[in-house]
Amino acid sequence: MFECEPEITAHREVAPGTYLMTLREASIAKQARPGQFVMLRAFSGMDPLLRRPFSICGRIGEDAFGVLYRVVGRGTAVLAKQRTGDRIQVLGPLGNGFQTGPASGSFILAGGGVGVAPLFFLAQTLLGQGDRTPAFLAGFSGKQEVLSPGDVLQLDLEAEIATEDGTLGHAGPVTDLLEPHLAVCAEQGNKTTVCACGPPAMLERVAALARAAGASCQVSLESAMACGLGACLGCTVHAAPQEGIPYLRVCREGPVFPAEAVDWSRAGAGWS
Amino acid sequence: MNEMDPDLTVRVGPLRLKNPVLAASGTFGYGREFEPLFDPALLGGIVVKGLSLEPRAGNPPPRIVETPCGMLNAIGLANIGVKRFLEEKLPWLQRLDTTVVVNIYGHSVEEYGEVAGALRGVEGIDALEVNISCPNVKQGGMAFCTDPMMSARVTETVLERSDKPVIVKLSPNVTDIREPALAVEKAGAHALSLINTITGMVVDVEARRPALANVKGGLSGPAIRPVAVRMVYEVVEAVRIPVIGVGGIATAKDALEFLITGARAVEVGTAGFADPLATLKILDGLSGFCRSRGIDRVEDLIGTLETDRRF
Repeated sequence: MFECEPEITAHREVAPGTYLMTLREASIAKQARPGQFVMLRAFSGMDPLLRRPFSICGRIGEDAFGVLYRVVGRGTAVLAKQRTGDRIQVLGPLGNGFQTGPASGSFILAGGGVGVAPLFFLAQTLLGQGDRTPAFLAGFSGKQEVLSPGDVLQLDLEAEIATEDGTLGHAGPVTDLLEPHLAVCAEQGNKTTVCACGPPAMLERVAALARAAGASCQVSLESAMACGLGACLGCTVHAAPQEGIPYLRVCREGPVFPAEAVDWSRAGAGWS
Repeated sequence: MNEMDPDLTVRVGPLRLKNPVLAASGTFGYGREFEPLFDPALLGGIVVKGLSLEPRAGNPPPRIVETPCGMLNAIGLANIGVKRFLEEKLPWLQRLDTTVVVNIYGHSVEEYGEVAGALRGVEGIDALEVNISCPNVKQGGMAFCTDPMMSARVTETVLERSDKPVIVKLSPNVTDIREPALAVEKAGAHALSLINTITGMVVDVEARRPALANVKGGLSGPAIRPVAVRMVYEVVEAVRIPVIGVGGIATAKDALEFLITGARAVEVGTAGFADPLATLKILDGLSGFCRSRGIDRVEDLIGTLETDRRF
């Protein structure tokens, strides 16, 4: 974990209102694992006050990492105004990433909207391990919003795209793309791991489909956070009953959880 | 110590702190959470997360929301309870070379006494900080702090059961904070800390719902600092026991406002979320301020506020 003030080496709008920021900080780039996050603060003064958590979307070159974010409020609006050469405060890498392990078996990555960010990093890592090319499924509201691993991170990986309005790829939710993949895996008796990030409703559906198909499922959750270190207890989600504790901290126990650890009937309440 | 370095040690009643900057309860976990970033022993002390007799789950999410220059929280005093605290958290705290204050709370006078009793004789705990902002379940849920008599009873009970210096943390959610301050002083408290968070509320206008699941929450951060300074000013005028200033301190200048007003130490909370190294920067700034003004001891600054009308 590092607290630093790296330079922004590139910053571009990759889709309307969605930006890719490249930060040159070798310590974080080297240590980070897919699914981990950083807390960013690009504002001086006290308003906005708190750092914002963002998944790391991949290693960029030798000594830099990327953050893919959508402008949704005051914090991200300030972030979007930063220019190449500016420095911002960064704390990370934080939290637990995806468990990829040494085991064989296939990976299916399913992302919704800007939730593809940690999955880009995971895909990049799996691709770097030789024969572990994952299936990459991504859903967006429409063609304009599409973020593909090739365009954003120059990964050699074709994504299957779904759009809600049908302007590109499959017309419907990304979970429609997941079902046939799971069916194939179940048929072949492959050990399959689904890794997902996106809106809570999508994740709940992904978790249910994976469970039904006998695949293991890991989800990356999002929450407002104050510290990112496990101290403020502000980022909790409801835990499933067998966890033995009522709440899990997204920053410390997560942000990547086994899907069965989360109480989906109460996930995402209040936050969008 | 370098000749030029000012003496930052401060006395707070029976406590002698290596410097006047403590981490505030509820913002520093059990001390270890920030360890990857800096040595917590550099601080004048740490006040650990509020402890109750039994573990407490806390409130459902959402628990926090940012506000102008601050944040609103309704964590719900989530904690692991006394038993697990002693087993899991205390051993590390005992090895920590700085003052360790344990914040405690209860939902009845008896529960405060029981928590204090459970920590009696425990080595490595230098003082208790008593949170009296909780609802008194046996008395219709009204917060202890809103009734000076109940505040005094909690204080007496904790003092009876404890062998440690007792700091009572006052709530700003009262008409006149001098009343509980005086009542708690009379009950025998060794020191006061103030202020706790200010009750607030944020509405999500799109959803037409409160931003927090608990509806109301506690406001903290720089937004509340002038309120805290005013209340410290009122209390130091009224009582003889030492006061620790808390509320929106984010810079050395903020800490100095409290010290000059008469606080003998400060606690830093929310600022540590925005910048985990805020406490250390405040310490550096205090040293720098003293050095540049030829002040040898930070204690010489305490209570030096001039209020003569010269305008």
